[in-house]
Amino acid sequence: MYLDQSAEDGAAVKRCLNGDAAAFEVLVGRYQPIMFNVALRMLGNYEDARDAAQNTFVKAYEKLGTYDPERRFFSWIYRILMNECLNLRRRPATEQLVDTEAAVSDSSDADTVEAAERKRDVRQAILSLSPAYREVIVLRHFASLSYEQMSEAIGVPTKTVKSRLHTARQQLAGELAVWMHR
Amino acid sequence: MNPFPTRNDELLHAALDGEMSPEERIEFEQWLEGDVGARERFEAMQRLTSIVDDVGVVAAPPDLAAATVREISLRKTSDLRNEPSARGGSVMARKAMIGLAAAAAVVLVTFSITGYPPTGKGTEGTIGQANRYQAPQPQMSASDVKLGDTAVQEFLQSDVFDRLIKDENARKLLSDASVRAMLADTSLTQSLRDQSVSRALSDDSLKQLMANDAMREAIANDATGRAFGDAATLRALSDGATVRLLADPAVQRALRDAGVARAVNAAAQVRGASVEAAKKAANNDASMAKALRDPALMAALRNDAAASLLSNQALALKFADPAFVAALKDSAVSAALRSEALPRALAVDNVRLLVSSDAMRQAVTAGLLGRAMASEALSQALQKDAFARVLMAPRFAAALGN
Repeated sequence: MYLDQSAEDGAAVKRCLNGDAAAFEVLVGRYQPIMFNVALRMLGNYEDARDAAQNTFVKAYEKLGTYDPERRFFSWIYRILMNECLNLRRRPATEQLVDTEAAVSDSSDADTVEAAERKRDVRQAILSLSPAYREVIVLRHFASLSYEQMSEAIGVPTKTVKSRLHTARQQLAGELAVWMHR
Repeated sequence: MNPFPTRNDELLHAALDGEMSPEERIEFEQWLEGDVGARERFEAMQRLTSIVDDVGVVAAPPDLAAATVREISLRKTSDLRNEPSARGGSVMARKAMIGLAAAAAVVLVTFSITGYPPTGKGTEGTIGQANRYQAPQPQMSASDVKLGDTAVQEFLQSDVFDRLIKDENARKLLSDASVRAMLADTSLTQSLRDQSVSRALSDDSLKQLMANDAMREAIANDATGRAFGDAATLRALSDGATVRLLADPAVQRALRDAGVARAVNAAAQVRGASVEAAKKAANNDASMAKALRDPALMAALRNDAAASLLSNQALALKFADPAFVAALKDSAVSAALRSEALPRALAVDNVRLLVSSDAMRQAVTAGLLGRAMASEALSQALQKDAFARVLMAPRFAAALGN
């Protein structure tokens, strides 16, 4: 899902800063799926994910002048998204980490009951991880980022990415043992 | 659980993620060949990554890109508006409509909370329906508006307000004489000056609500418009319970939902609903706010059949009943609302009549029905006409009330 189009992104940002606002629409179209999916897996709530993704693009547009073209556009906008997710999670505990995907997704129509249950359990297990561990699972499995891309996006060394991925998978294996042995 | 991966752990994850160099692959395969436990670990991790990947990606909301671009466009418009050269001659007109848009916002929020517009007896006499759109529209001036609250004015000088005055339908409604008359009512201005209302009016959720196409249709709706001139509406707006509701984040989130907006629009078609019931609903603020916080209820409201049900006057009255609202929080009722069968069943006229009956209300309130509704068998049975006829039998209704 991850789109590594640094040159095209840089050109679009430049056009946008030169007054061609339509160029930003290209960036929105390109990164909307990944932004929404990362937010959905980090927040576990469809509507919150939608808000986070939209707010991210609006803020990115407003702060476009601060973007460093030496960095990947995704890494820059990803940090904005994580801040939005943090803001949305600063809510009363009862409203957090509610998996609403089943209520809004139509994918369950084609699933068997068992597959639907398994997916629900996996989503919940991911939500139960601490944000640092959840982040690497989400970026690896739902955004298909490489270790190096994850390292740049998160802002930690590759070694740390590997370590977090190892621990996160160990924790998930514990949570999902019943499904792994079927 | 060791947080520090060994060399073999690193190789195992690198293999899973396709991040191996040729040299590492040779090292990894040698390890697997000489260690049965390593192979089992690798296979277990492969199963784990497989079931995680199987969750898959979700399509982004279809209108997300368009909504984002629109929001960005509005920000740009707002920036331009702050430049003297772009202000042009519209500034006076904007000032003149400040109060009108404020009234629209508050009344619409109230409708969303109460579930229907309080278009009670006497409304028609107050407004003068026949001449509503036919009469020459008087030119408004700044003197028509006597609002002093800075926060309210800030909101009304926002993008939302800008959009409102550019919308022909909204402009027509907001320039209506009856709406202007409402502004003269002291209870409304008191409500607008309340800090909670000001905060609610400046909240992003409300801005998004006002940008919602369905809600804009509701603004232009004739039935909605009639309620603007209703004195009882004004009294409801000055009610403390309404004010507290407006400030509730859960309520504001609910209001921006397109499904709720549709439900409000559908509800706006209801004629002759009780004004007193509207006030009663507003006074149930805590229960209603909690009910609106329930994702299951929100999912139900998005359903057209459920929205249609909400436009049923009898059911609207039941929403004014604290016990009925409390029943919505019941986990069994929530589960039933989530079921796919229920909305289909609600579309059947007989079932809708049944739900509106007093006996059914009592059953819901008692929590008994909620548990029954959670049953898949009952959900399926509800879709069958014969079963619906049985449910409608007076003796069955009496039994439910027992």
